[in-house]
Amino acid sequence: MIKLKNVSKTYSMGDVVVNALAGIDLHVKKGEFVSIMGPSGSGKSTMLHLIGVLDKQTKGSLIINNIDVAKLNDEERTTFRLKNLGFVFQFYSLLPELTALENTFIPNLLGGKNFDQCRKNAQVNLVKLGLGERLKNYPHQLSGGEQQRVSIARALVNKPEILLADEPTASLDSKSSLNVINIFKQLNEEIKQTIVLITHEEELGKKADRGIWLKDGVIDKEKRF
Amino acid sequence: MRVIPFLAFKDMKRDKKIVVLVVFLLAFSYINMTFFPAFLNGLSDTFQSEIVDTGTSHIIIQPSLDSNEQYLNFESSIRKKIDLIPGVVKSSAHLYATGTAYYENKQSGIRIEGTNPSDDIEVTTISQKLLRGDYLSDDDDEIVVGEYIAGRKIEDSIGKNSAFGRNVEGLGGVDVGQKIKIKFSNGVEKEYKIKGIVGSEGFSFVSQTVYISKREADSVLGISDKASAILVKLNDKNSADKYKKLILELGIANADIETWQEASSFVNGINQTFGIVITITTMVGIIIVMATVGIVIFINTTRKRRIIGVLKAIGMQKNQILGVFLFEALFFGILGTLLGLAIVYSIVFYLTINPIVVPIGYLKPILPLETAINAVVILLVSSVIAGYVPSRMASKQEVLENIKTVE
Ligand SMILES: Nc1ncnc2c1ncn2[C@@H]1O[C@H](COP(=O)(O)OP(=O)(O)OP(=O)(O)O)[C@@H](O)[C@H]1O
Ligand SMILES: [Mg+2]
Repeated sequence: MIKLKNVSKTYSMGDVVVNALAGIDLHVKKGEFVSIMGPSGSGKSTMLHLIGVLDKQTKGSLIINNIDVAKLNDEERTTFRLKNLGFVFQFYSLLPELTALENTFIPNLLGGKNFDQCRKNAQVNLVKLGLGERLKNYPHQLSGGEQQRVSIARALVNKPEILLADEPTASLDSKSSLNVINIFKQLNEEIKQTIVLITHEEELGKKADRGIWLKDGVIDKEKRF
Repeated sequence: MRVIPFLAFKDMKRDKKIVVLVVFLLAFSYINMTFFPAFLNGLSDTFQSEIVDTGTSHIIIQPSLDSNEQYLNFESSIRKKIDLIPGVVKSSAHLYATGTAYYENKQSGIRIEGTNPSDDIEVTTISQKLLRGDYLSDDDDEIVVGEYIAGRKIEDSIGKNSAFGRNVEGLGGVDVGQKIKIKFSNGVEKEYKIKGIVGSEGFSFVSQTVYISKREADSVLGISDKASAILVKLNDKNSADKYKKLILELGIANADIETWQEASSFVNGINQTFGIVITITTMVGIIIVMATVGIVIFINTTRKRRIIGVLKAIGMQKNQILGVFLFEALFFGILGTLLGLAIVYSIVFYLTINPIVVPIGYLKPILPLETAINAVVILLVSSVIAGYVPSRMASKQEVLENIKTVE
């Protein structure tokens, strides 16, 4: 599903060169739930942005779904993200002027579905995540945990191949955090959702099938749970 | 693309106050771009119709300058032919002369106009400008005097100037029933009884003219069947060009034929001056529109940096982002023009029924459809262009930079 071969990412700012990733080899299988951990600045987000087709590697190859994504042009990359990837961000990623239902169906709307289909589909997803009572609520009327669940619903409406999440629990209390991770676990078990999750809390990372620790842009250790 | 109007409307719904503000500013701009021209248009129309109504009518025939003739000959037979052309209401012969009027110790230089009132009443509105007394009849030997010539009594006119700043002392306030002496430029001197006083502000000569019957003018000037000018009134003043051709075909000797537009060409000069003023107001309007829409869209996109990044990350194309903000800009433009149109037409409608009274007469704003439509196009186009720049900038921003933005 996701194959990284000797992937490096270098940022250069004038004379200073930062090796955010320095030769990563990783293979995530279909249906696998992988958590990425490691200290701050170790390159976790950088790696997720590459897998999320939001950025391009400096070196190495990245194949997702048998497609060499570095070769896609800007428009194709955007379409690729819409069709194949679901994103959950760390914080504040919902449109404040849209209800939970409307926020959820944006990817469907972008995919060309009509409003009826959009609403139905979004409702089904929100109900599954326990938000059946909050469809008409605006983000500011929802708790942080609820907002993250709406984000997860939005990430799932287009039935993506891969769900990507960059510290989705960082701004939540421990109870809500556990709740969010359990949702990921459940999705992975029930519909074989492929998931790549970044977290700096090992307790949560352990819920995955496999944990990967980065340090200074390389894989430091790897463990199956 | 359903998503573009959907997101645009939701976004504007959230900032209703801003939308209202922008729409009002755009409407104001629309009014600025249309009402001012309409006002000036009405003004030049008032000038022009006054000249047409009292001086030139729709077509004016005069002796050509290079013929050295002072008068047109055989005016009655020329007029008979003209009057037979379908679409001609009536023609009227005018004789012009100059002279001096005397009353007691006062005197005043005057222009004198002789007409046949029974013809002229259908051609000009001079007879309607009567302020006091009665108008002339065809074989009158009394006269009608313009109010500036008649003047006012000193005590009435102290500190009072006419519309154009002239002191209207004239003959010091002669009135109906009194007698004045006129010395014509050919030397003839005669005493006349005043039958009526006429007056009209503006660019017409009515207030500065002494009107006499054509028969009286003939006898004073010692001529007959001649005219200084033949005025022709048409059913449709807008087809004056066509009638000018028809009259040209009559082959009147040594004659210059002009339509009312040609004859009052100095009004075109005024219109050109107004045109410059209008161009400037239009440019100011465009600047207001562009600044308003540009700034509002710019601020909006700046505030939404992170959300724009998120939308792009989850699969929204650059062009769709651009589309949302352009849609908003266009929508501002449409609402602004609609409101502007409604306000401008209400004002024009109201002032057409209740014209503004100005020193030169009644002023009704005239808004040509073309001006109204041009302003709509200008407003919409400048809204979209002004919206395009910040929208384009927003749509091109790097996704990652946007996502890392913390609001
Ligand atoms: N746009 C950039 N320009 C320059 N350097 C960058 C840029 N983005 C990231 N870096 C650097 O790359 C390295 C890895 O950053 P990254 O964001 O991947 O870390 P992280 O593991 O996600 O850390 P955290 O846990 O704090 O989120 C860091 O040293 C960072 O300073
Ligand atoms: Mg990070």
